[in-house]
Amino acid sequence: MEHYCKKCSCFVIAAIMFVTAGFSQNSNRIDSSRINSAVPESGITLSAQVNNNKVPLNRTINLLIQLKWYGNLDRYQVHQFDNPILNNLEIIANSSSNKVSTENGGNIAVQEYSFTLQPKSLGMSYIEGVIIKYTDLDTDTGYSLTTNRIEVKVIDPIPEPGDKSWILWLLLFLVLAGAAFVVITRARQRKAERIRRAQEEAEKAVPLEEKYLKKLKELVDLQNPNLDIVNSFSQLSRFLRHFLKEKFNVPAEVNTTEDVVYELNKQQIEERFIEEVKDVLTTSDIFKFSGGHAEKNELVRIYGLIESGLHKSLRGEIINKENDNNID
Amino acid sequence: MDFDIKAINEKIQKESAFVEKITDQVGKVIVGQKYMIERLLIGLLADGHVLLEGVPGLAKTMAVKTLSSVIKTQFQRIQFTPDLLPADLIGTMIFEPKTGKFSVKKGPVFANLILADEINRSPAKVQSALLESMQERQVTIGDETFKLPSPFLVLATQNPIEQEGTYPLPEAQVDRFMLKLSIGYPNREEELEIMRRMTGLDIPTAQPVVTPKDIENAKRVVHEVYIDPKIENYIVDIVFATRNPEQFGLEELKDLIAYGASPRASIYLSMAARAHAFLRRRGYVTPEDVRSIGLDVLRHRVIVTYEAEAEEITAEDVVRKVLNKIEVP
Repeated sequence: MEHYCKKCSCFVIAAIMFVTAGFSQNSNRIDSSRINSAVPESGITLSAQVNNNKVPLNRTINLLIQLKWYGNLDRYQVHQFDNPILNNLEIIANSSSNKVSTENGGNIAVQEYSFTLQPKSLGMSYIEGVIIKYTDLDTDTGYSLTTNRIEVKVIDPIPEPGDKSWILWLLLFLVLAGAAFVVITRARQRKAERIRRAQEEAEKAVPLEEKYLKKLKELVDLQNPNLDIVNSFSQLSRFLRHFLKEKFNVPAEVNTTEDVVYELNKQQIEERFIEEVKDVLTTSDIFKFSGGHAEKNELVRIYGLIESGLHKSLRGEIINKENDNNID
Repeated sequence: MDFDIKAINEKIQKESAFVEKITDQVGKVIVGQKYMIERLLIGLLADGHVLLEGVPGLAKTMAVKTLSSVIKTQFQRIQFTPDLLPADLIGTMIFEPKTGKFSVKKGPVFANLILADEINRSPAKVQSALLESMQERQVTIGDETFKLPSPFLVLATQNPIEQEGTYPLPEAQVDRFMLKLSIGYPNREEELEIMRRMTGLDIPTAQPVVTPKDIENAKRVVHEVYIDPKIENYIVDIVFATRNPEQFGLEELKDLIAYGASPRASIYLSMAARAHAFLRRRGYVTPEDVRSIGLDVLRHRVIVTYEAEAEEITAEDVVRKVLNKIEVP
């Protein structure tokens, strides 16, 4: 009996030293082997450790519970193992494993229980002490081991690496902005088109000659004492060429006077009108290109010819009646 | 404005009187071909050489000979052949045994009117010799440099259909011709008249009616023909449009033109337009003068790309498009 007490006290001292060593090796490792009653000689130990004592809210921690003993592998029978009691944590995965290895010629049996824990909210969370009950088959005596309570601090969540959700939001925004731009642009275009068509319709309603008569009055003011006469000849010549192009589809802007007259002669246009056109263009050419003195009387005459020609055209008097069926 | 258009017009009326005489005399021999005759006169008045291109039998040579015969001046016809040498053209130094010295023997290029017939039949060295004298208006034989007589006009002909045994004129040398005329076939009535006239017993001949002095006086008046800045800008626009067509709304020509017209084109276009106005008895140039002569001045100065050739687009088509696009002032 005396011998047995000595052995027990030695074992307790050894167990305390082991637990102390476990604490000193890793601050995260909380190792405990509390002997409920007498601890068998083979030295069964229980440890519980977490991989970190701080965990962001959007991360997990791993809890590893390890039961380990030396010697005969069939010596102990573990009765039951309940999930650890958790405070502000929840188990999202678990696993267990058994393994046997050899150390210094002796066997070591290890049973491991692993839990993946997810914090629930910011603040402190706790893993209550884990209790394992087992029976020493050599002595047919039941024992239990309990680990210490483990604290884990739950901290603010960290951004998820590779989180590209903002790109999706940006793309969505761009798509929506693009769609809005297209819709607005289309609406504007449609509006502009409607306005343009309305203007065109309004313009179509006004005969070409009337438009040109209005332009003619704006183009050259014969009453102006400071009128640039040479420039006015140029303007009138160009004005008439534009009218001929629009009215008869003659390339009068790029053709010479002779070519314009030739083109007009090909159409069913009254000869007198063509003569007047020739007169206007030739006279304008003289004053435009001869570098000589331009006479206002001639300008007035040319202006009058253009004006009367437009009036005649408005009345439909410049089409050759004999062949007017050929004119559109 | 200091410029007196009336005075110029009067001068032109006086100095251009010979034009009618020339056309009358030439008309006795040549049927139709008014376009060619007018361009030859423009070359004569504007001091620019003329290259005539056309198939055989279109009276190219005869027109030049007739023109020379109506002007009381020296005329030389040089038939270009593959064995012609530059010395045959410009002359050479000849050793005279009697005096024991070398003397200069001037070649046929020393004349007022030169007809270089079938110029593309001679090799490049002969062409170069002629073209150099055309440009410099002087010839160096041995140590001596001789000025060529005035007026000095080269009228060259070439046949576009025969390629074998010919030496096409390089672009740089063609550029020295003020005008390149493309001679076409006569119309039906003209053809009938040619047939009747040339198969008669008496072949008509032209009489000399103009002196070189008349031509020189006319040339001076041509230089006085007024060209307005608007017309000058029009000419420059046309020439620039051959270089940068996209700037003138001719994007479709951008890939068709390899090289546009040179500044020589602007000079010749201006001079030829003045001569054209002179022939119309006008003391000022109008856009009509520029357009009339534009094709003849520009057709050999615009070089088209391979793409254009593949699409069978000629320099003439390109110039036509340019002339039909640039707005007249």
